[in-house]
Amino acid sequence: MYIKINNNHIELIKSANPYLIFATIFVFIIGLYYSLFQSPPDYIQGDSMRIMYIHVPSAWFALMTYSILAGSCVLWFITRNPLFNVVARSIAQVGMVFTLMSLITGSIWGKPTWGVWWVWDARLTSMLILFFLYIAYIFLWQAISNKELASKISAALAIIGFINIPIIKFSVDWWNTLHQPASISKLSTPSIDISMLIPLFIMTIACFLFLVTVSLIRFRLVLIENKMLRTIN
Amino acid sequence: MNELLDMGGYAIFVWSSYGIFFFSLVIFFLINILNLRKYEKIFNKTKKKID
Repeated sequence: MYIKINNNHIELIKSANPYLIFATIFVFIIGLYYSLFQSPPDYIQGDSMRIMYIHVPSAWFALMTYSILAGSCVLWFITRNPLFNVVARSIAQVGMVFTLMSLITGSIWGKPTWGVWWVWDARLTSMLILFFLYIAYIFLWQAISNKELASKISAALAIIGFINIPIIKFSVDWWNTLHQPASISKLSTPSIDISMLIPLFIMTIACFLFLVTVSLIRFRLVLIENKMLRTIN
Repeated sequence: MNELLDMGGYAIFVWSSYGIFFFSLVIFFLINILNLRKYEKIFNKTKKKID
């Protein structure tokens, strides 16, 4: 299985770009309307709960992006198809931004809810480790001039770092943490009201569209970088 | 309107979160789209020179 990207694929990605940007902005505006105007305040946390609508999708996509990153690195190791390397490098920075947003918004939400900006509990610490893993992946690739070696080392790091993903997911169940357990899971009915679930769902779609839009822009950028490196060498 | 801005006394937390979130996303998007345009220009110039 050797997938190759040709000019037709690039043209298709290029032509989809304005529609994706428009869709992202449109869904974000609807999401903001529901998050700030339509959704009722929480009966305990009050309006500070509205931070959830940006914090939770950021955390979900931080984890999802890392899973795709690690998966691409595994596929690159197996097939040596450079496309998987390009995919991994395209999404790494987007994942890093979502992780940072999750940490910052979580910290701001933590102050009125817990009375502190930060605690070294399992969920928060494992999310911080995820942020450092993203940074390490990005900088390792940039720091090593031999790009074949850089790909190997950064991919190995991404795969080893994947062990952190189940730790983040189950940290609230395995340890006593200040962070609340999952409110939405596949195995049970959501423990939050539909009036709060709708804005969360819309903001999740908006964040997903943002992830796809910027990843495709970065995909084109990484492809050009690769072509330039080949030209120089 | 004032009620919305006040956010039940949590204005500083809610608005700063949303502000930082959207500011970061917009800046990140702009950096990437501008970098792409810059690299495309450089690449096309180099390609023309080689051709």
